Amino acid sequence: MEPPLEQIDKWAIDSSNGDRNAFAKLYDFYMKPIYRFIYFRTYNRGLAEDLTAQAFLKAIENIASYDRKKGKFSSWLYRIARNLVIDHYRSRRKTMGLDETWEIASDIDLEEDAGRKEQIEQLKGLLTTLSGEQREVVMMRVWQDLSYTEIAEIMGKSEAGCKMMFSRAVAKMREAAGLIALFILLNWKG
Amino acid sequence: MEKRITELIDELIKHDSSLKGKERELRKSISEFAKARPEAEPDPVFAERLRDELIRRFPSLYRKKPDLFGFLARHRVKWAVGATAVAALVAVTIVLNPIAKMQFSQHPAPTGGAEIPGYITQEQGKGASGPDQAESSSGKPSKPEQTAPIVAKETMNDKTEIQNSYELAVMDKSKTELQPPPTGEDYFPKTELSSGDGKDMFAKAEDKKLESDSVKLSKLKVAEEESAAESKVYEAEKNFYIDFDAAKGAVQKGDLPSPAKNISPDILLEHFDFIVPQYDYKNQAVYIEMSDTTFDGKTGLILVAIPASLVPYVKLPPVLTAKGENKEFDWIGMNTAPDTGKPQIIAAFAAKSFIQSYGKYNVMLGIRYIDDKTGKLTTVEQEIVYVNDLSKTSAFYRFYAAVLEWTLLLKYKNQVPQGSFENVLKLAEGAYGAVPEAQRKDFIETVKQTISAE
Repeated sequence: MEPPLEQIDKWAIDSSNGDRNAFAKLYDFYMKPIYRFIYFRTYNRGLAEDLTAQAFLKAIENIASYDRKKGKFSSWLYRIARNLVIDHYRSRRKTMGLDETWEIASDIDLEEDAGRKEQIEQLKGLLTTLSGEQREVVMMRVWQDLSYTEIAEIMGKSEAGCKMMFSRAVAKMREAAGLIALFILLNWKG
Repeated sequence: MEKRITELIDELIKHDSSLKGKERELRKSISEFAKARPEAEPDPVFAERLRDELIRRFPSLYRKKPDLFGFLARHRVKWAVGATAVAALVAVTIVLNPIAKMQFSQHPAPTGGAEIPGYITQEQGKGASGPDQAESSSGKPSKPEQTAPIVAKETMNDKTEIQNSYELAVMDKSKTELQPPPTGEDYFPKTELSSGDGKDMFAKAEDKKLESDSVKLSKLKVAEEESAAESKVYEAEKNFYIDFDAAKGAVQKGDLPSPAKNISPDILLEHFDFIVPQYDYKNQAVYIEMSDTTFDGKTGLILVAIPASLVPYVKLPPVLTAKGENKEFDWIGMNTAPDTGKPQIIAAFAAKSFIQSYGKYNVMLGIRYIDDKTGKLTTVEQEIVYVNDLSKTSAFYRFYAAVLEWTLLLKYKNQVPQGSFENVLKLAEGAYGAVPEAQRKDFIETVKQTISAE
């Protein structure tokens, strides 16, 4: 059950004052969402674990500078995780935009999820029609159930801009869905 | 799920009215996407280990809120502030430079806003001033030699109040000082020092010297005593410890090491994989685990890690059972550098039968220490849980069990007949922990070298 926002704020404030038990509670609540957030961008369990650990270590290092006025704790934490993912991909390639992260991620271990291979192939088809930021917005909104306020804070965009991005992404997926269905049908017949 | 998708569609339509009437297609796209969400549940063992690791490392990683200086330092404003401060200092020095002012005062500009060259010569810069230096042998004002601009050329009228008042003061002073002395007046004082004054002076100086010597001697004595006490402790402990670096060096040369002095702390005390949070002293946990040894079917091992800051206050034994019995153990210490604040490992070997029989009950380890705040002797009692299966102990335990076995094999090989370096290697390799560390790797490499040297 999700604790009330006031409770999370209190834990965040206590943590920023050096209370590690409060941080442990934040960890208990945010570990899974952060892990998923990273996994959806890397598709590699080992890497996701590594980056999750790094995200929380970084959160401890910087918790004292967390300021509630600048945004929710969750947004702050997600932003750390997002920056780590971006840094990870940057370190793999000297220059790479967010758009390219999906392609690299798809090379890693999507095959591990063999039972859902077909579904994932479809998903890849859908997602490759979107830009990197659009993918992120859709994943955060649909898969992670984050609010537009949180998404905007994580991505450093306006709320209206995120809504617009989501709307355009869904429109693109709607168009692409028809093409993918046709492609699958032709392949099956062939 | 359906409800959530409906909400999303409503949101979309609210935001973009052109989507009205396309609900069905939208629903299909979003639900396909939602269903394609990959399974992404973290491994619970990993989650738990990471949690323990984060809690353990929180005090060392946590950085307090930066104060103003910290903020400036962190944002590299310090360079800008430093540069500004230096520039301000230079500017103030130049503005208040008495040598330059002497130059100004000795060559007053005509009234009406004549220009004053704001220069200072190198000679003046070295401290030479006054009429002799300021003028050349011909009596004319000296031309500026290699010059450095103080300020841009300025007029008398442009000078600040401070400059003008300072200049006046210099002028007045020069007037009084440069007045020739009245004839017949002696510059030397007429009264002479009595011989008694001189004696007092020397006596005082001598007393002061003696005093400082005695202070020095007492300090030296204290230092010697401290050093002697340290040596005594070292002498007492040197047979108790093994020097990892020496052992490693000998192994690398292809020789098996001879018994040495200390176990170096650096490979030993970096990470916990398990934490007992109940007894928190200075934000560090006391860690205790008890299980079997790998090298001897008859011996069990109790591993205790305590904060280094607690070490001076700890008295070992006692080990108290739940029945209130005191049990004597052979404690083996793996020391740490006390200044680093890393935990110190203390290991005790006990007959396995004892551990197993008491493992069924609560075996308590008492740690007594003097509380900093109250100054009273305080006891912390920690329950020791016997882990029946070595493979179920923490990586922390297994790693240190490996280090201990390696140590014993080097030092008392005849006492560990069932032990082997291969076993040490196997144990250490299986105990990397949640976050592999370079120092553990270093130990494993050394064990490999030990095997090849053997």
